[in-house]
Amino acid sequence: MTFAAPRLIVRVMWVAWLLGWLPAAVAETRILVVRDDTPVARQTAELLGREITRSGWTSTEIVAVADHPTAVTRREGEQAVVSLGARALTVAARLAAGRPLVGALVSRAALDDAAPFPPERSSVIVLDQPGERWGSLILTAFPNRQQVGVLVGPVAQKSVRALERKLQDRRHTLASETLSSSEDVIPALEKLLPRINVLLALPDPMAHNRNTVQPLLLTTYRAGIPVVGYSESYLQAGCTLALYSTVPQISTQVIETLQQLLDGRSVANVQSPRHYTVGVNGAVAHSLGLSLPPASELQERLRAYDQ
Amino acid sequence: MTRLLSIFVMMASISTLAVADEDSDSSGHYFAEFPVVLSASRLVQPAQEAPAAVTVIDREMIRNSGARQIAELFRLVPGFLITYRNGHSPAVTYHGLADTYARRLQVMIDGVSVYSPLYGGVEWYDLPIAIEDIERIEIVRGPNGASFGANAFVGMVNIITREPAVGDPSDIAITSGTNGVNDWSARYAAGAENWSYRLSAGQRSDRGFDGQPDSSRVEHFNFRGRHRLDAANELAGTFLHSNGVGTEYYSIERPRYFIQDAVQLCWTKATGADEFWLQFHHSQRQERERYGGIYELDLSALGLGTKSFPYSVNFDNDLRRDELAFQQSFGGSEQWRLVWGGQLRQDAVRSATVFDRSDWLTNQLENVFASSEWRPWKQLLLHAGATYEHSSLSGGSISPRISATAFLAEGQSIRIGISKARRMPTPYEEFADESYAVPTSLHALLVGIAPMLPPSWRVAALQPTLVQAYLSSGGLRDEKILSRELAYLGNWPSLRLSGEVRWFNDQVRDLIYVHRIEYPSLVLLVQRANNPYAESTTFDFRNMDIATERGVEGSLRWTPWQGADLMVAAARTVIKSSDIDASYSASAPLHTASALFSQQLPWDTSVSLGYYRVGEMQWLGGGEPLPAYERIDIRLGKRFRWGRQTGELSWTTQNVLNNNHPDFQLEFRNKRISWLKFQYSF
Repeated sequence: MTFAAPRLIVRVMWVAWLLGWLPAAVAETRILVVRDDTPVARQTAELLGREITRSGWTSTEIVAVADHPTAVTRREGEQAVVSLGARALTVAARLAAGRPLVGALVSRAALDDAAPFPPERSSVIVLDQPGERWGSLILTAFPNRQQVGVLVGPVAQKSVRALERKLQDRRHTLASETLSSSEDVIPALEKLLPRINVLLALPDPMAHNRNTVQPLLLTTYRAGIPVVGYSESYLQAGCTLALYSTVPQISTQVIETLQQLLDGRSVANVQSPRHYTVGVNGAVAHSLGLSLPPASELQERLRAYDQ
Repeated sequence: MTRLLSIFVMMASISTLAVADEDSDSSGHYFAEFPVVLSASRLVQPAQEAPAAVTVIDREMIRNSGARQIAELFRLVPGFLITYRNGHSPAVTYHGLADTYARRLQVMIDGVSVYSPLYGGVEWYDLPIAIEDIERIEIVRGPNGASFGANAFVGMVNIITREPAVGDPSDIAITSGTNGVNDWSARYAAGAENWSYRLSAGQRSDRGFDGQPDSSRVEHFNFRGRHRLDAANELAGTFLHSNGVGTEYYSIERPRYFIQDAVQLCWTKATGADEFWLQFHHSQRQERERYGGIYELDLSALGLGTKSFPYSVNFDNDLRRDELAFQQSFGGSEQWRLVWGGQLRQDAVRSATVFDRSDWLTNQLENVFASSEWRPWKQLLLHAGATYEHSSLSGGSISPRISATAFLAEGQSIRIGISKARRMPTPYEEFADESYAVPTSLHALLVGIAPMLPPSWRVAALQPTLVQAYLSSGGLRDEKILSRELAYLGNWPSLRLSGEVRWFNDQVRDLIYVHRIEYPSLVLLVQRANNPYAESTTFDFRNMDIATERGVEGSLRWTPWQGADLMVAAARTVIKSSDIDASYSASAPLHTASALFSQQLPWDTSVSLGYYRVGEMQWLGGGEPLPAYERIDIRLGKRFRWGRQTGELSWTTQNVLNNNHPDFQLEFRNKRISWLKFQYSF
């Protein structure tokens, strides 16, 4: 008996301690992040991890190994799942099991190929900028260059119609050459060049890859035709102008979407990038004799179009 | 040539044009790392913003001109003059002051000088590239020593060859015509994600001037490859080769054989608008010109009658150049840009006949330059730049330039500029000791009869020099130019018209040229025995003359309607000179004009018409007063397409008027020449 009172006190203290922490433990939101094994996915996951912490949540990261995506075991502890990359989306869709799922770093084409399509209570933020936004950018940056050209591979096929509608509304024309392989790029470009005064590089790996970028940029530059690109790297390579979403911008949209889903609000199954960057390659624009508005001004005008 | 062809075919056959596999992960494609393609050295400065007058000859102009030879293209540039010292040795200069070794123009292929380390000037016909290899030619009119150092004295030409990654993978061009015109060239390109290369080989040959024994044949081969290390770093390698023979006629046919090779390695690091490159270049050239015959010497003054002696001459020249250069460009901002760089170069020449010594003569050259542009306001652009250069031949010097461009309205600008440049003396000018020995049998005879010779003959007759052609006293100073210009540039896009007009005032001093000196050679002695007033045939090189060049020149480019292209260039040049050693005042015509009109026609056909007018003038170095002449060239072309393959059949006639206008000397007559060219790309 001598020691019963202290033991009781200890037990009471344990219970009190557990009860004191229980509400916090119940309220904690844990996010499972499934990512591809790529540098961009790794970089995005790191950034996202910090954003998740800043939002008062915790996260667990899993790498979807390229060759064995099905090897990831079932996870129960997390309230929501985020996928970064196309393979990660396939894994995450299986793991989500009705929990909110936010996909990112996926192109529209990869999403269309994904089977099964992401379940309910999910939203995928695609990498593709909407066709209307491309149209708005061209109209804003090149109001006097009314003949727009595109090289169309299988991926870019879907963006072309929206783009064409947008341009036609403003008396711009769209000339396109359809590719059946990367070998067609330069012959197709040479056919296109006499009919256009600006080339829009719609994201399509058949048209724009490390093999084609050099002849494409040199050929268009020598013809005095500015190229509008879709990534920061393409802009540095020699595009005159580019429109793209950066990793921080994508991460921000993931957090926003997660919050909406966790709050029970409805979110579109597929979202276009909400945050984006317009970049101008001043040296190339200057050399082509183009006086473009500053990138910040173009971005502001584009936002006005969006709204 | 068989060897060249086999190398070409072998290299072409071991590789196929690699094409990228499609990126299966189209998501990753958004973040793919692309290499910097349009780096600072590939970007062309807009003409309105250049600190000097610039003319660009692009592929379309080259095609429309119908030109077979690179030198002919300069007829389209305001103020440029072309002549030939024989059918295969063109000389190109700007605003006169030149002989057929025009030494005051710097010429580069892809940024590396092809200026001769021996005589100066450029052997245009021997260049190891085909005209079809050229992407464009940038011509800076006016001194450009501030950016390119010595010898960019009156101007600078940079020939830029086609990138391996651009254009059709393969093409062949075959040309055949009158006057023995017989050319061919072929190119093959291949590439993959991180590398690309282009091979080019060919030959050009013709019979030169009508009635002159000056035929020539040149075979050429070049390789240009790039290997990308990562998105920012790239290694490039170039190999160039040419060899051939061309005959000159100076009272006897003198075939000159040459073989030349060059290799370049360049590392480039490009990040956005900033770029750094480091380049090593080595080139070498051998010239072999050997001739001989029977020499007749009138020794009747000695009572020996006319004696005949066999003789032989070897012009065996060896030339070498090694160069290490770097350049760094800072894209800066909209307001400023900066480029700086440096160069270490060693030129070496060896010629027993020209220098009367068998060792290598070297010229060490070091330079550092910086050039910047600053735009304090949108309407004003300021340039400043300078090169400091040290040469072991002529010491140190600075070549500065400043210019200001005011933008009056959209597409309208005025530029005012002042610049200084220098031309280094060539080793030939500094060290020439070109003499021909008295034949041994004659020398023995003269030594034997020496006691009987009159006193005035004894010294000359006993020395072994038959003729002393050149004997440099050395100690030459750099030639110097102070150039001032005012230019107006206009661009009217709605009219599809652009143009420029430029006033210039160039003051040139310390002009180096041959200066006749007394030298008691045996031939002079013999001549004076018959004619006491016979002039010495020996020349030194001296800094003697000054000259002032003033004038106005301009060009227009207009697309009057769809498919048409008109280029017009004209210049008026007035030279005033001390004219002590040469007739500099007459070395440029008062007026020159050129026009090239091209029209695309239905059924993929095209027609081009070139008109060229050159006023009266006289080239230095033995040129005769030439009358003004006009020349008309015409070119007709028909393009074909077979799927991805294209071809063109063209007919060119030069000098349609067949007016026999002379070049350099009155006996060098230009007749009408025509050729058919077939080009096939696949």
